Amino acid sequence: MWSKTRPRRPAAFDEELLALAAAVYDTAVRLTRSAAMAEDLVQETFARAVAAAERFEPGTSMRAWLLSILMNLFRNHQRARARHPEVELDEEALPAVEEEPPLPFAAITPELLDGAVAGLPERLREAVVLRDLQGLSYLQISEVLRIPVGTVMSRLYRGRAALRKLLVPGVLEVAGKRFSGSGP
Amino acid sequence: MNTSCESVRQWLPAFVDGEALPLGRAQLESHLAECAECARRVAALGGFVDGVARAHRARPLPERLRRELERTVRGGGVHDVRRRLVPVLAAAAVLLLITTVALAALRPSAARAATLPEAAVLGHEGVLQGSTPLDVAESDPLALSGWFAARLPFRVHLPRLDNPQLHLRGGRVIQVGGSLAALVVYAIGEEQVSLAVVPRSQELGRPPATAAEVFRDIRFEFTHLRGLHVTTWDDGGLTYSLVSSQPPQGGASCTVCHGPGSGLRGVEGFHEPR
Repeated sequence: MWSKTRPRRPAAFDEELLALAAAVYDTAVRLTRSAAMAEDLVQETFARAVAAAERFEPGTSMRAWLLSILMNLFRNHQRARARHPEVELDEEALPAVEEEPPLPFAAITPELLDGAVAGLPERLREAVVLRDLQGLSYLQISEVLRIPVGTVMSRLYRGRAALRKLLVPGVLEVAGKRFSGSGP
Repeated sequence: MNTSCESVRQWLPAFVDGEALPLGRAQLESHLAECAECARRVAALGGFVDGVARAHRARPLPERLRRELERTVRGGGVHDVRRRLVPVLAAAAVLLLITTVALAALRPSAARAATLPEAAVLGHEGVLQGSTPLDVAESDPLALSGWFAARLPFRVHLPRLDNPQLHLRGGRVIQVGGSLAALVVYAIGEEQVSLAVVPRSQELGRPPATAAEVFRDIRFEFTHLRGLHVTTWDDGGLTYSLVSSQPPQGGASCTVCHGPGSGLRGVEGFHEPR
């Protein structure tokens, strides 16, 4: 514990924290879909991380720890806005993908990906961003989102299916092919 | 599909992601070696996940934010020097708080704008003064429409510009009450003109209009806020507020955007507000 007599915080902690700033900002932008709100969340995330540095357990993932703080702040922000919920895709209306005809996913561009991720329903977007963009494990995601690992797997499955569906037209266009219209 | 496939398929994503499996990894690999369909699914999912990872480009960290974070982290440690400065910092914080409260009382923040016209005016001023700069500088209407589409739960279709004096500068996501709105910023010569857009269902009210005009069943309301001229109207599912330091000039104002090559309906017949 760092108390009045505790030693100075290790410099390595600060360096690792700052090295993760871009990843935290990228996640915040994708969660909020607003650069201005993302900046506010990231500043608050780092302020809280510094204030609660003694709670970080060395040897564990600082990325997952920071993203947990970010997610808590984002949840609080969303609760404050609960009276005016965003209009989003109904995640139940997004079909699960059983059949997956081969598609040229090497043709996914950063712009296509940005648009498709932003179009995902919030819960599915969280799972996809944390796993496929930030590389967290299922267990880390379950801790960040405070949900069981089974729910992580379910959301990730549906999130990837929805992401694939959103990407297909653009990917086919980029690849110079015609969209068959038979679904993802 | 046989029983073995059924028991295996729910774990294929975890296998692709390198996660722990309830059945042994070797056991699953052995199944894949014998089952072409399961192997195809693994390849398809793996290709998709790889494609997403390759396409991912982290949003660049704004330089100003990076400096702020460095100050927070490097200056936010528990250092002896800082402890000595605590009383000074506390006094400064109190002074800052009093100043902030006083300023806030005099000037509402964009975050507290309750109506679209107010948010439009505060956003307009913020961009003009540089206190809340554009989120994105973009001169192509299609590209800016796409930028908003990726950030807002509604679509903003910006028209093509065929007026050589009118230039699209960029956009910013602003807040109206608890909702997100688009702020589109144009320049006409030295003059800045801002257009705020929010879904009609999210609009919470409007300041009283000083004049109004109905044209093609659309009611245009005119008002003055903080010395700026604001025109507000509903069209389709969206509400718009246009802000300028110049008063609207009937159809002449509208034709700035609704020119012949804009792709928008013409506005012949629109006259001065009454």
